[in-house]
Amino acid sequence: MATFFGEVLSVYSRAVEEDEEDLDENEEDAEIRRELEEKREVNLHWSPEVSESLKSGNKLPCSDFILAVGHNAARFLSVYALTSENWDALGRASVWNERSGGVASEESACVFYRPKDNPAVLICQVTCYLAEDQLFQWTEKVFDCLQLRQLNVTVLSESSVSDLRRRLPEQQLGSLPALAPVRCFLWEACLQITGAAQHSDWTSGCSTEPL
Amino acid sequence: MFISSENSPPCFKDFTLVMPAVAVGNVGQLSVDLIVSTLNMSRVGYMHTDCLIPMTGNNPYATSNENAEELHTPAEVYTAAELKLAVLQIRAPIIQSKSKKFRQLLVSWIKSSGFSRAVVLSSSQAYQRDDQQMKGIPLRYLVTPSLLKDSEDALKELSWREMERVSAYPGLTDANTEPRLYVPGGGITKGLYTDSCAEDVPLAVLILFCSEGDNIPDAFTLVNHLNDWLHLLDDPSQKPNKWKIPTSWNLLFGSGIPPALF
Repeated sequence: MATFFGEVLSVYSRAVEEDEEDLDENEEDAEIRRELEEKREVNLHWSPEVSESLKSGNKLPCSDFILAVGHNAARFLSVYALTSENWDALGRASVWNERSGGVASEESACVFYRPKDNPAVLICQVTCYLAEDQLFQWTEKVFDCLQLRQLNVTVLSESSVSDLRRRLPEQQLGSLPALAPVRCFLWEACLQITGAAQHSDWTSGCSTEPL
Repeated sequence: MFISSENSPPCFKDFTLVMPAVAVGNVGQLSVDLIVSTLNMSRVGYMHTDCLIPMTGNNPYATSNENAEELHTPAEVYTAAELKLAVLQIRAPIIQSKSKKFRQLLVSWIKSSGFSRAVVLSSSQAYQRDDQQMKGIPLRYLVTPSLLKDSEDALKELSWREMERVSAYPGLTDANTEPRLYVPGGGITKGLYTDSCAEDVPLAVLILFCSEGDNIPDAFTLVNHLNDWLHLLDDPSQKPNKWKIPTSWNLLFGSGIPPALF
């Protein structure tokens, strides 16, 4: 795009990149693609007793699932939930992608906890990067392990303050941090999948007035 | 996979399907937003697919506080039964490695649902036009052979211009290279069109040449162009702006201006 002053700026486009001509893929390419896809699979590692019960067809009983996505949200759970109760680590999800770091960070990146005295509550802190093509799979695999009837899902997420769009002017933002819920009362489960905010102007334009 | 929100699946027999291609400026998606919000269409289901980046938000077409709190997802189907019109809105980018799978999903859904025709609203990079494409209005169309049979007269009457094929190597005259269809910035547009030709699906594509920016005027241009053909709104000349802008377009370009500035 050329500006009024004649500079040429490269413009970010939300459109999918140029649709590649369907190149003839030889067997080796297909093999590499398959291997890469396998490597990018989301894997769940449950504790022995959980995997035993999942194997026999019993899903995890759960009335409330709290998912914290991002470092701020995860830390919020650490401070206000994990320190005050007695929690069992039930398992973790592991992903490999272009931003995966060392093994150490991976181990603690996506752990599921359950309070000892209330096994119907499950929380998870997601601090690792989930790539766009892994989000759907992650959600599908995790929810496949849970009993979905009467399940309340709460997702704690975070977004930069500069991305907050609201009709009211900034000076009324006195009570930071502002909370803007994506609300739903019609569905049993309220689920905000990671990445929603950054991929859609639509989300931020909704009726999400800060509390 | 299409999932109905009602217990009984909706009937799309002889309906016209309108859907966007996620393309430059998101013009198709904005146009579809205008159609859904203006015709007050009702949601009948959604596409459950791993080909789109998952996302969610509140009702983009909210008219009151009550219906604002519905949960909406990346690919949803709306209908206006009295117009025999169905609309598929796509709100998220397609995952690059899965665009072929997504095209196949769409084509097989269009075929199995019994739509009489499908219209794809799309856009293409204005700066990549060649000389002939720069002449006249910036709108082009493509139509598959199976739709051309039924709509030839209507298209003739509209005197629309078909998308020109461009030479594969501009500036070089080589007898061996045939002019090809090229829709830069059009996402799955070209693939969807060629798949539909091969599968004998009655499909039309409307393409607007545009650039990335404030694409709201482009959306009006495209949706008015579509209206010339489908007559979704009866008296287009009645009001200067007969399309209803949905609530989700508020704050598209950031927050309100702080009065403390002045």
